[in-house]
Amino acid sequence: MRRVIPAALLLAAVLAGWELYVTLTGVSVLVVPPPSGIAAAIVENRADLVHQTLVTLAEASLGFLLGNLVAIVCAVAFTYSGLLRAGAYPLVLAMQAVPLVAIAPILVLWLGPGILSKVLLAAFLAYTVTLVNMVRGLASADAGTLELMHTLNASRWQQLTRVRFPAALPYLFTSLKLGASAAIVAAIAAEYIGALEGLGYLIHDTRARLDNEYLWAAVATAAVIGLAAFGLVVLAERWAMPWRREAVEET
Amino acid sequence: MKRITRKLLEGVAGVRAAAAFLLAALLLWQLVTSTGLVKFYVLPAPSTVLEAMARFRGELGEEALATLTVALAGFALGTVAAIAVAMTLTYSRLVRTAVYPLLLALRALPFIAIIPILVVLMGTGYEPRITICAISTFLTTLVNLMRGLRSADGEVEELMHTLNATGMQRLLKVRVYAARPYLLAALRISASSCVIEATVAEWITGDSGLGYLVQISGYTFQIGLMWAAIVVASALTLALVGVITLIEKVAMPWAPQAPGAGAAV
Repeated sequence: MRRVIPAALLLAAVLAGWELYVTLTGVSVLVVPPPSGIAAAIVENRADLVHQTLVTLAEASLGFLLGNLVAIVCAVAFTYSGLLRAGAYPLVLAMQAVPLVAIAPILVLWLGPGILSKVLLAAFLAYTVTLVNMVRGLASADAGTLELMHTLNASRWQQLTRVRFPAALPYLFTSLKLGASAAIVAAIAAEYIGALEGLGYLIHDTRARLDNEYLWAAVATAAVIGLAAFGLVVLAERWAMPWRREAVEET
Repeated sequence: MKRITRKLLEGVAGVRAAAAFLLAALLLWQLVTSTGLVKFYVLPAPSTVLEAMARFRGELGEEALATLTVALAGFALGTVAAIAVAMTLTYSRLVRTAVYPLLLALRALPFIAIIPILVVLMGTGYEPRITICAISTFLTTLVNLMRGLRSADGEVEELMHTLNATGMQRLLKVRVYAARPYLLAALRISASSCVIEATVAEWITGDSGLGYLVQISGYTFQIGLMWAAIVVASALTLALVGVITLIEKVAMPWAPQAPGAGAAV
C-alpha cells in the first residue's frame, strides 16, 4: 500500500494541473477537455458507457478463454509429439512475430461486424503468447523429478499434472498477464474496423461526432478495464502460487 | 563473419521442417481455392495474392515505406527516451517511487485506444502515428531496462566499490553491461509492436501506409490487394524482428534465450 501513495499523489497532481491548465488558458473542449468535463460525460452517459464496456469485455474475455484453452492443449501436444513440434512449432514462433492485429480486416470481412470477429482476434493473440510460454514452461520441469516419476511407474497423465504443470505455472501467468491486455486491445482494434457496439466503436463514433469529452471518457474506460484485467490476473497469480508472492511483486 | 554464417545456417536447419509444413499448407490452400471450393472473397488463392503483389508493387512499396518510416521513427524516439529515463530513475529514489508504479500501470493500458485522441490533437499526418509507436516502445523498453539495470551482480558492484570506481564507471561497466540482454529483448518486442501500432493508427488516420491500404482495398473489395498488403506488413515485421534477433545472437552468443517480459502488442 505504501508503494502506491507517492504514485497516487503524482496522479492527483497531474489531474489538478490539467484542470487548472484548461481553466486558465481557456483551451477549447474540442482540443483538450478538462477532467471535470470528462467526469461529467461519464456520469451523463453512464448507461451507454456501461453497455459498450460490457460488450468489449465479453469479446475480450471469451477470446482470452478460448485462446488460452486451445494454447494449453496444443502445448501439451507439442510436448509429447516430436513430429508436431518439429513441423508446427517454428510456424507458431513465426506467427508470434506477425502483426496479428493486421488480420482484423480479414476477420471482420469473414464474420461480419458482430462479436465473433472480435472474439476470434482476441483468441488468436492470447493463443500465440500462451502457446510459446507454455511449451517453454512444460519443458522447464526438473529432469530429475521427471526421472523419479518414471522410476515410480507414474503415468504420463500423472507426470503432466504433478510435475510439468506446476513447473509451467509461472510461465503461464506471464503469458496470461500479457494476454489479458492483448485481448482487450484485439477487441478494440477489431471494433475500429467494423462494429455496431463496443468501446472501440464508441471511441471511433465519438471522434467522428466531435464529442470530445465523451471520447476521452470512453478512452479512460478502456484504460480502466485494461488495468483491471491485468490486476485480476496478478491476483489469480498470487492465489495460485503463494510461494512466489515476492517474485510477483517485482513484475 | 564466420560466426554470423554459422548462426544463419543453424537457423536454416531449424526452419526446414517448418518450410515443408508451410509449403504443404500453401499447396492445399491453392487447391481448395482454385477448384472453387472456397470463394475468392473468403480466401483468395495464393496465386491471386501474388498477382496483386506484382500488379500493385508500386503502391505496396510506397505504403510500406510510409509504415516503415512511422514504425522506425517511433521506435528510435521511444528507445532513446526510455534509456534516458531509465538512467534517471536508477539514480533518483524519490522520482522512482513516485513515477515507476505509474509507468508500470501504463504498460497494461490498451494503447491503441488513445490513437483517436492523438489524431484529434495532432491531425491525420505522421505525428500521431509516430507518437503512438514511440509511447509503446518507450514503456516496454523502460520496464525491461529497469529490470536489466537492477539485475547487475551485487558482488561485482561491491568489487567496483572496493576498487574506488566512480558512480559513472559502476553504471557503465556493471549495470549497463548486465542490462544489455534485457534491452535487446525489449527492442525485439518493440520492433514488432511498432508495426502493429503504425498499422492500426493508419486505419484511423486514413492517410497513407499499409494499414490504410488494407482498409481501402477491403472497402473497395479488392481482396487480393488487401491480402497482399497484410502479407507485406507481416514480412516487414518479420524482417525487423529478424534483424534484431541477429544482432542479439552476434552480440551475445552466450545468451540462448534473452530474458525479459514480452508484450503481445
